[in-house]
Amino acid sequence: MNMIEFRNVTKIYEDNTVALKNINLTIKKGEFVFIVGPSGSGKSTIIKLLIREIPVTSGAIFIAGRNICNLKTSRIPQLRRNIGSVFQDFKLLPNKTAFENVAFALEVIGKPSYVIKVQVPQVLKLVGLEHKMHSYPHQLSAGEQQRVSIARAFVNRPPILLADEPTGNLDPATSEGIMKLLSRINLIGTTVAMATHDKNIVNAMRRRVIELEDGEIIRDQQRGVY
Amino acid sequence: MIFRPRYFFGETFSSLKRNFLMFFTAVTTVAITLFIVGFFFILVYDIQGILTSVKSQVELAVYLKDNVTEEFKNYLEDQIKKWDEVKEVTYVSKEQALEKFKEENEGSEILKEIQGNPLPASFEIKLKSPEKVEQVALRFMTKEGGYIEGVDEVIYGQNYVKKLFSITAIAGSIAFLIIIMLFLAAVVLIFNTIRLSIHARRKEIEVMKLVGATNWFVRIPFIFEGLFEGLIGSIISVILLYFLSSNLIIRGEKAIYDTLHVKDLAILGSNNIILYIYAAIIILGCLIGLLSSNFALKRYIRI
Ligand SMILES: Nc1ncnc2c1ncn2[C@@H]1O[C@H](COP(=O)(O)OP(=O)(O)OP(=O)(O)O)[C@@H](O)[C@H]1O
Ligand SMILES: [Mg+2]
Repeated sequence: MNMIEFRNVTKIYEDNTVALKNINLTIKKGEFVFIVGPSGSGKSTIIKLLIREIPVTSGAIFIAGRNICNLKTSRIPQLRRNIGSVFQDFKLLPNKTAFENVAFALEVIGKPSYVIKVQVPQVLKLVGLEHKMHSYPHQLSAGEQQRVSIARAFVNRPPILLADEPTGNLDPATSEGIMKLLSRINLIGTTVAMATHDKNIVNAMRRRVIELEDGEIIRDQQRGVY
Repeated sequence: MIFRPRYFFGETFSSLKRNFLMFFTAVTTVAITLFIVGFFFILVYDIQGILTSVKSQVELAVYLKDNVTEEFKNYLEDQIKKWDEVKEVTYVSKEQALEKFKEENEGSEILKEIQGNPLPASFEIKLKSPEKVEQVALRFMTKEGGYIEGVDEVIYGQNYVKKLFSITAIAGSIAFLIIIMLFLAAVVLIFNTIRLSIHARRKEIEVMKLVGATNWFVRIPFIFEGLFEGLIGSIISVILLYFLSSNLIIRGEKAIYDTLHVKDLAILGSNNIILYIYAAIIILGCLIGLLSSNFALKRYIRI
């Protein structure tokens, strides 16, 4: 089953920058895919299109068989509840603890507090931070902060996890830990797509690699390298 | 959407705690700006009251010649009563005029010198709209510039009345403009402060949207907060106004009240207007706070 499908997708920004040119691509349920390419090649644009942060210019994007391009604004939150997203800058709220940051993601989608009390410690345990639950982001290392943000993205058990350069701010050893975590999440059955620059990581993982250049796919390779 | 009061009130309250400085700034802005608007409004209202009261004391006195007959006097009185501008006509006969004169000048040397009754009979005319005094006076004139038959003289303080009316008209519209400008300035200031406090929390909004919060879910805590800031700020401004008016303005206006017998002053609580002003300030404060956060949010909520 195709989890994600791009059909002739073109994205041109308001200032006429062509970020993606006629992209066709499918990602199956449970796949782990790297999206690589030089700066400005359109990696982040793909992520932003998937969570409807920006609209497509032409073409269509299907998630689990549904065209998300003609989604009503009021349905966008529902889409995002099914996609966990992780970013280079973590996007944690500085005045909330690790627990509260993760719990916040459940609160704002209306989950009752007894669910929150069970699920948050569980997912923090999964990312190996059960002992730092009550620390604030500034009391955590960069790697630990990224773990909290992955916990937040995954706490609702979304079928898809998107990561835009999740290791961009981390040293190699810490990055390796984050990749192990993403692999585990993928093993549970989550479809994972990760945009990255990081040669070493891509080469070490030997997963499917989609390479972009100037908004076009120039390579799509199973068990590829950078 | 499921409405979860515990989350919303909890989130509003804890964000107030966390963002106390922004909250404090917003409340102070609301309090100070609405205080200035309210203070000026009360002042202008009362000055208008005083002016109206002074204006309503403008009267025409129409002095009659001694030789007019009873019939002519009745005829003239009926005519005057028919005029739209006229509120009240009082006839003062020669005898009553003398009586009044004696009362007013009791014990004075002047009384000894009076022989017979030199005072004329007159009509004292009060007007519904004092601005029309000149028009009414003209009705007692002939085309040639003299007075009509039987009328000796018409007096209404011509120059003084003209000046009074033009000054009050100008002052009234200037005051109105100033109040509008002050109010607009208050709205802009409050809006900007609330916008800044929302801007400071754009990351929170971004994260909420990212994990799939609906627009209303993002909005409600911010709107509660704006409403709360407006409410607290306007209550503070009303308290300030209350203390200022009861300690300061009231003394000044008491003096005016005593000399001019103006009955309609807001500050004196002689009518309920001051309560309406306070209520209006609080309602406006809440509305401005609520609408400001609603509009300021629009930009951040779009993604
Ligand atoms: N909001 C925007 N408005 C206009 N142009 C944009 C916007 N966002 C991105 N672009 C342009 O679109 C192109 C693709 O950008 P994108 O962010 O997808 O690249 P990227 O592959 O993620 O790069 P990087 O590796 O540096 O993150 C670039 O030329 C960029 O300048
Ligand atoms: Mg990017």
